[in-house]
Amino acid sequence: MRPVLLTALLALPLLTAGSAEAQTSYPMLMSLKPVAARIGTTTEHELESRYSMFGAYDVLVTGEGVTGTVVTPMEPGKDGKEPSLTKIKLSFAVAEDARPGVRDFRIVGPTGASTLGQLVITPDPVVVEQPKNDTPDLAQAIELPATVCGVIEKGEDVDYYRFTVAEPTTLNFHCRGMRLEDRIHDLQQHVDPILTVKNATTGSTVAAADNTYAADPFLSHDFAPGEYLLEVRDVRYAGNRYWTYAIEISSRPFVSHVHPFGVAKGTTIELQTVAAPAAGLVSFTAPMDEPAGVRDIRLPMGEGLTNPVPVVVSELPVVIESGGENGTLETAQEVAFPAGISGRIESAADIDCFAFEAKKGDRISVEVVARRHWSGLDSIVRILNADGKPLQENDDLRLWGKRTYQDSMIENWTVPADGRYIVELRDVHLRGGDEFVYYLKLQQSEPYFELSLDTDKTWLSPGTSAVIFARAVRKNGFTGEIQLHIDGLPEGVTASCGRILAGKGNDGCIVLTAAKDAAMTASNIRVRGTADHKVDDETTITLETVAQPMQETYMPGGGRNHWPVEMHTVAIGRPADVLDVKLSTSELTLKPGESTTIDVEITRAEGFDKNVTLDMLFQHLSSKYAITLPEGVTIDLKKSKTLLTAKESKGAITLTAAANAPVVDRQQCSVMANVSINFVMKATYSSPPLFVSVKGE
Amino acid sequence: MVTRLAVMLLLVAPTAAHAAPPLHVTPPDVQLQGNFDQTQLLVTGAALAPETADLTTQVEFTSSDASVVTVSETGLLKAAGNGQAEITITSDERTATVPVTVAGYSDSPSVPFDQQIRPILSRLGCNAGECHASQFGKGGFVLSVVGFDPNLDFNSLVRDRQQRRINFVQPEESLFLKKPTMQVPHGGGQRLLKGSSYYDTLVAWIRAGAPGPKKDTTKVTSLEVWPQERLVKPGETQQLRAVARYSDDRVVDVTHLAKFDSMDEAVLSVTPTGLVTVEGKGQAPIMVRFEGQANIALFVSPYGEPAQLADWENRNFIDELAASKFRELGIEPSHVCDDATFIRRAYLDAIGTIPQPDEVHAFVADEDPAKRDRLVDRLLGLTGDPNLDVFNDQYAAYWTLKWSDLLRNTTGGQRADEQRMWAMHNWIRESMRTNKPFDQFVREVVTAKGSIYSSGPASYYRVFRNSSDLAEATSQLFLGVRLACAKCHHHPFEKYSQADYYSFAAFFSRIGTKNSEEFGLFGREAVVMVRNSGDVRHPRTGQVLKPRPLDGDEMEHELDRRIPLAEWLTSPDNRDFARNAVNRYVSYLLGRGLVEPVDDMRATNPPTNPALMEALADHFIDSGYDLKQLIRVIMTSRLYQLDSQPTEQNASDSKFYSHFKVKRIPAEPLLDAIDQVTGVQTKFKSLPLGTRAIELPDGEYPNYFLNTFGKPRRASVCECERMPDENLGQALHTLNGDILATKIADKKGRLAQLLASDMSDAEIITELYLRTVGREPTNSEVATARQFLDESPSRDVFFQDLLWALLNSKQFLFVR
Repeated sequence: MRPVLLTALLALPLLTAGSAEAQTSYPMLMSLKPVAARIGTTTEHELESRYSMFGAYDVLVTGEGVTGTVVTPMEPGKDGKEPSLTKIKLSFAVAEDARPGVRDFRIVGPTGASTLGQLVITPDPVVVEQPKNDTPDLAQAIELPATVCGVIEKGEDVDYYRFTVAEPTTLNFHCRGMRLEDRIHDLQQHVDPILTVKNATTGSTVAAADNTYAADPFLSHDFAPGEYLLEVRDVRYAGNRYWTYAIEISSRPFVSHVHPFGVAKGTTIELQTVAAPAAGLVSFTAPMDEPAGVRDIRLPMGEGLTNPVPVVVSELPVVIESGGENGTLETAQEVAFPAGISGRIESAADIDCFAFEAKKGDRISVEVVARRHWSGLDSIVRILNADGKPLQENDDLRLWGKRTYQDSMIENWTVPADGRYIVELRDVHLRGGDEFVYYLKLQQSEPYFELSLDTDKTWLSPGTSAVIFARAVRKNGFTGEIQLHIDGLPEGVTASCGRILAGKGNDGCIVLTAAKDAAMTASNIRVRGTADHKVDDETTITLETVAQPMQETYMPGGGRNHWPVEMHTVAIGRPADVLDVKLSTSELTLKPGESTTIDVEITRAEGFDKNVTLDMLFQHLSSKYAITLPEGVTIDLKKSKTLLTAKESKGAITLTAAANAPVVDRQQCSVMANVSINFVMKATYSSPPLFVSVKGE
Repeated sequence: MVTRLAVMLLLVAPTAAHAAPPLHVTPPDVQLQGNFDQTQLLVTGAALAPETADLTTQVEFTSSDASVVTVSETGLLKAAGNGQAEITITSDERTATVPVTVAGYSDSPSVPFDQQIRPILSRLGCNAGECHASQFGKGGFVLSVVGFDPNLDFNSLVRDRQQRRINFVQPEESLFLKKPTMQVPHGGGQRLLKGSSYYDTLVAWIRAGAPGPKKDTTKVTSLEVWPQERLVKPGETQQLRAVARYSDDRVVDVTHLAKFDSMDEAVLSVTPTGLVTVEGKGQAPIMVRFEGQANIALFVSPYGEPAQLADWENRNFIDELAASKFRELGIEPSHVCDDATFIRRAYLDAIGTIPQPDEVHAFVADEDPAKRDRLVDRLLGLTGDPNLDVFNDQYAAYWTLKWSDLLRNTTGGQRADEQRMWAMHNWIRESMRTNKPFDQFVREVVTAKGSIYSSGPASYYRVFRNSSDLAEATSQLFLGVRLACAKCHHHPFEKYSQADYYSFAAFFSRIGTKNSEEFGLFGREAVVMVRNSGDVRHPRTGQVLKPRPLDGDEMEHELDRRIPLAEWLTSPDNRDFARNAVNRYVSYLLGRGLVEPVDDMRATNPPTNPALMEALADHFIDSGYDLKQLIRVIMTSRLYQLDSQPTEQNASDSKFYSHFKVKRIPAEPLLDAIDQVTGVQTKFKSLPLGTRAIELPDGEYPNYFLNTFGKPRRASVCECERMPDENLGQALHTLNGDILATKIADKKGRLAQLLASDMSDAEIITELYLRTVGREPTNSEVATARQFLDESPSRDVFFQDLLWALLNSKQFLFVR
């Protein structure tokens, strides 16, 4: 077996005993230039990475209508060796009907799938920044509309573009920069762009914008005829060769939000667009045949369609906030429970109250959907009783136990008595305005679980195994076991899907195995978890959750973190440093208080003589990212030999069951062999599944 | 106030031919209550008015019955026994009588601690910060500063150290009496005379069992002083009378208990009993303090006869009110400065930049009588024509510098703080660029919230992190009130108590932050927000204090206490807000505030021209708190355009703007000016070449020149942090430092280009004068330059020396 799962993990230098020399790694994509591609065109782009992209043969792109290909020929160097390619050319073909917006992409090669890059799809001609445009005198002339793609490549870099306005016009400048960097694995400072438009004749500032979408600015200004300069820089005058930006400049209306924000499935409604330069009304029908959730829709406007704008398609009956005063207990708008409420905090200090009837013992959840989709609202939500006494409050919500959002959620609140209750919603900072739209879910609390994957890519080579870890966060009374499933595996790969044990267990794993004759290929997979939840003695329901892939990210100072992304790719590559992780057994049974040792033998690739560390916990520094061992079963480090130095290939792991370890039958685990890649990363290779059982006396 | 004084002065000439008018006595009758009540009489030849001379020290007082009331030579009445008597005042042939009634006199008088003992301790200076109210007291005897903690004071006197300081059996043997009377050694010297009324009061208090302070005792609610204003001449005297009003509406003469201080000893001196002597010319107040209240008596001692202001023409209301003050004080202002001086002054004051030679030429040659107004409009971007309003970015940069200093926007050298610092900088700059109304600007600061990266003003709550710091900063920045003293004790010069301080701090007690990931995992974004709870307690009483503005009523807001604070603060009714702003801008433009220090506005520190202060405040409010209009109205006034050269007659005036106050160019504009003249731009760390010093966003830059010339590190909200004064280090730096020398000698610099051009020596000399001091050289200067050129071994060296000399000249280094 030659399992390989390469993962970017941080390790303090002192802990990365031995090798500091780079070993085999997947490519980490750092930048794409230009970062935008025009709809209906095929264009060439330069992709830059850390770690070699040599051998890259495929490009995976999220969504429909965009395909990518590797243009750079993958040929050995003159010395016959593989060159280290950290710059290659890609080509993106964007269909006429492709949806504008941002796509994730990655390349696939012999070292597996890369980290994610991002590509902006735009309807306008792409203008690429030319060298030496750093002063007003050297400003690059551009024709509008355009999507200007550039790089704030070094400290003190300022990019200037010159454009002419022939007649009075409102121009919108939508800059993406910072938002293109969250997925970059190792870019520890992000760009904070600021746009300034100056009169080209006088040099006077006529408009400026800094932070609209977090660090990214949006600027809308009414221009008089004349010549102007667009100045683009990082607000701190910092720079980085990977800090790309795309600024869409046009006179098309830019719709940031719609109100009502939530629309019931199958209903048709007039949406008010929150747009620059002007709002409008557009009819919209929420489809019946698509799953509920947030959709980016394009609305007809003028002769074309708007930019994609988020709308919540609701399975709950939708109540639209009434036009009158609803800010107090007395004026609270009555809603039937359950409900999806579409509303807006129209003005500063506006408070929206909704009254509903509930019975004692009911369990109720409230969730605000707003800021996650760039509503202006940073909500705070409270449940009040009929006397106005606050009973429950939430400001920010947390998903997957990892990420915090400025939306609010109250879960599983128990109604203390029959009666009238109020959901009160406001901006935590008492702001308000057209863009402060929200969709508020008010419903019965249902048991469910969140599921997230550690990493967004898995790399195997023919005949080897690899492991994918999943972590669950159980909600609203669900405490049961979760069975993992995987869909969409590439041809030649099979999976042994483990489970997340009930009780204290939060983690499970899926061990993948590639056939010995599997060809180099890749596909995006989907991991699901299913569980039976016993509602009462007579009723059991099945729960199912699709796991959220997480791009792993290393943090300044040596920490490890995760960022949610859209795809998890399994790729079959070629063999790397560790060719095999063999175990003395695939079944292990412990009695409470008993210890057992598993012998582990690795097969090193020819010439690979670096240290290897064995482990059964997916961990970094003091944080455990996956503990698939059954409750009460631990690794006895004193009796284990986990450090394989130099050319050593044999080690052992001793597991001990605590005296009170609960009974478990065949919990799937993995023994991992970790290889340091550099001071902050290590590659993780996996054994075939190891099933650990705890039997009673 | 005293605006009528100059005219009235003419009316008080001697009228010897008429019969002597009656004496006027204040108060006309007196009621004394209890053993220790005293009243100060004021005697004048006419009803009390600014021009009415004080005769109190020139008349003779006699009591009709010394067993009822005694009277001192200075007119101070003391109760001696119950009954009625009459005080007769005699001056030459004039007499007056004052009926006096004494009641409540007793063999065993009650001597309340709060009304009698604490004021005496204050009057004698025992509880001054430098004496027993210092941190550890003196000799183990600790009192609270100005008696803000009566329980502490009482314990120190009566209970501390086994009652060693008090002797109930033999009160006169009490240590706290023997020390200040120097019966035993006392480090503070003699502070108390045996047999004085203070001494007798203290003895009586001990005899009465030394009663302690009472919780619900009446408090002084106001303090009045007579006369409130006086028009005087050097050598004259004036007795003051102080009267306190208590919370139970009692009105009590406290002249003998109040403290008197001259605010300008070159003009006035004052005795502990309130007798003022006019020492010189000018305008100055006497500060009077009693029991946490303070007030002033304002004295005007004209410089000469009422001024004629022969060629004076009012250009706006500022000139009207300035002229009125000039007339009142007898000051003849200097004439209006020439055009070359004005354009340089206007450029530096409005946009922190020196004009280019062609701009000077064009302005001087322009014959339009309104050209100065037009220039001001251009500099401020008020022409309405985008092709003329070309200085708006420089205006924004320069005034952003000012407000960045005051709002203390600095990273403190912490790179992690850069994004926040820039957010605030850009917000200030955008506010200045768009001429955001000042009330809105302040409201946005005071109610700031949200991301410290996206919301510039939210930084205010990162720079100032607790309610005390926020209270002090907010009051000083936007009201000009230095509240810090009241954190620990009652403000010594103000009416503000600890309760006032912490009630004001309560507005900020619920500010907190939360983390956010909107700027990504590496963003370290913090979000300023208001928490549900958080209160401020009085540090001494432990009482939870409701938010209350200074001099205002309690106000509360369920969701954000700062909302009513901001409304109150920026309300037109709160004139202190407008006064504070206009005072700052007056100081920036005219070199001195109407109140100095500019951020120390209080009743006891009155403006030099109160009418002008009020008119400017009105104008500012009426304009919608428009800062550019405020600057405009000042810069287009004749007052602003006066020459900096004083006349012999007005040379001693330093307060009334009779001549333009010469100001050293601040550090950043000065460095920019040097760069502009030499054509060699200074490169600032982490900023692109071309960034000017006035555009620097941070308080922390490793630039020796800027540091030497006083660029503040933004450690304080005090205007004083930016030192306006010149010093030896600065002189040595421009004279001998390598920065200037290197720029002058730069091979790509301005001088090298001029020398390589076809320009004649004379033309280069002229060019250098124009670029540096904003004018052409005089014939004499040209002749001297030619002489040095002829004597110089090298043309290059001569011109480098000439430029060096010009850059070191006062005409270059100063706004004049």
